[in-house]
Amino acid sequence: MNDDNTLDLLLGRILDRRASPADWDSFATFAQARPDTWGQLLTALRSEQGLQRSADIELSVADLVDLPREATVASLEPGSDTRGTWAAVPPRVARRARRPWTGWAAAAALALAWAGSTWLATDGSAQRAATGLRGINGAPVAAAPHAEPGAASAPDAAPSDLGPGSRDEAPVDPALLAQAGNTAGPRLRDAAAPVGDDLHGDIVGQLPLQLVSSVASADGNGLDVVYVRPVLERARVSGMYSLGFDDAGRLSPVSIQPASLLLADN
Amino acid sequence: MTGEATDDGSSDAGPLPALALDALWREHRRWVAAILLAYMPREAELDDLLQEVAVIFVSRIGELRDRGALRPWLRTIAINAARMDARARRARRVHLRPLEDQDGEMALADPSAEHEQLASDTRAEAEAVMRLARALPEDYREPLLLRSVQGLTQKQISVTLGLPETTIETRLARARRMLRQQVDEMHTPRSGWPERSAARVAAP
Repeated sequence: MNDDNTLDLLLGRILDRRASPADWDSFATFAQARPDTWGQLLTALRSEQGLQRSADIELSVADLVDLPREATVASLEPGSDTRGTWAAVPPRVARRARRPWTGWAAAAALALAWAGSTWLATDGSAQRAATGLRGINGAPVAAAPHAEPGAASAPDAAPSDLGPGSRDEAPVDPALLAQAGNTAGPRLRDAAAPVGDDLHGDIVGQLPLQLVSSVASADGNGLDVVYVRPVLERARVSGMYSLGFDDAGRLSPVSIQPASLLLADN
Repeated sequence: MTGEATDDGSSDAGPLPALALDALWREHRRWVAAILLAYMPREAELDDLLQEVAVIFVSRIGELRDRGALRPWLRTIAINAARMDARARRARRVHLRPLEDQDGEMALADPSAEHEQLASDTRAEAEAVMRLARALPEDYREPLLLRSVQGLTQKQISVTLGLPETTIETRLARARRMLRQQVDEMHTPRSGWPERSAARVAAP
């Protein structure tokens, strides 16, 4: 092994903080014979620091990528019992499951915009329109016909199962909506994360179902339908934060006030 | 969970409970991201690709007979995901030729450019080093980026890459030398390395 290779190995061990006394002695010998060795150590330390800092920032994204939730996987495999274990999803289906909510969120937003405009048009109540309840991506949310703002919440209110194709409106308490925030679950995960575990909220309401497609079933019994079922969840968290950078360029959590989160969404 | 435990905290056989699988993913996702970083196109989104790996991880973990081979298996998934993304982007470039610059590179906006304007010199320098590292030959950049994952030992890197530890040490040493040389070149004023005047250097 030539001197350059030996020096490379020595520098590597120094950078990795696993240099032995013999390594340090060898390095000192090198430095005496070749003064540029110190310059190489300097550059090596500088590069390593830069690489480490950049890697910390870039790879911190990984901490935000969790496995797809069980419900998502289960929904892709009708009839399979995935409780307790992760379901084996066929690769093609798995690929479709990537970021499952991105396409659905867009579809739901369109559906809500449509449903909201229809509701406002038929109801014509300026007062209710002025309540300004907004749902995913700012689309109006259909509120419960008799719900009063600030009315007692119903944490145990089960989402009504409207069935595919129904345009009935699920009872949604405006107070609960306000508590749930102005964001849908997945979007909330993007914008901010609770301190601690992932969100696992209680279902407090359901937005109108939206039919995506329907075809006659192969056996002639009924229809196979695909639809979106958006739900509202409420969870209690210890705090909210988004990820920002401090003066040294390191990724650091920044507290978010719920009010500012609502404003950001509006 | 059944079977004998491995150093990955997994077992040799049998289905993994969801919580165990979740923990396994959390343990490995950082270095998987480093692999993606080493292979993915510059304009790709790391979190998108990692999400893709996560889905494949969940759906195919049952096919992994030897859970001791988890690291090489995950590495293969990550490399395939990065290469498929690169191929897809190459296909799309055909339709985007007017946007290409003279070197044939895509003239797409660098998503990091906006951040750089706001970032400190420290961050700009760190990003410059990362760009250089990602431009190293494949055999060298992969162990180098893996080494930059906090807590990942040389032994774990050797298991992941399926190479002897001595080979990893040699490759790391060469990678660092190449990086040093390029960083030295960037230090020259004409190179665009973020210069800072003596007056701006803060006292320790």
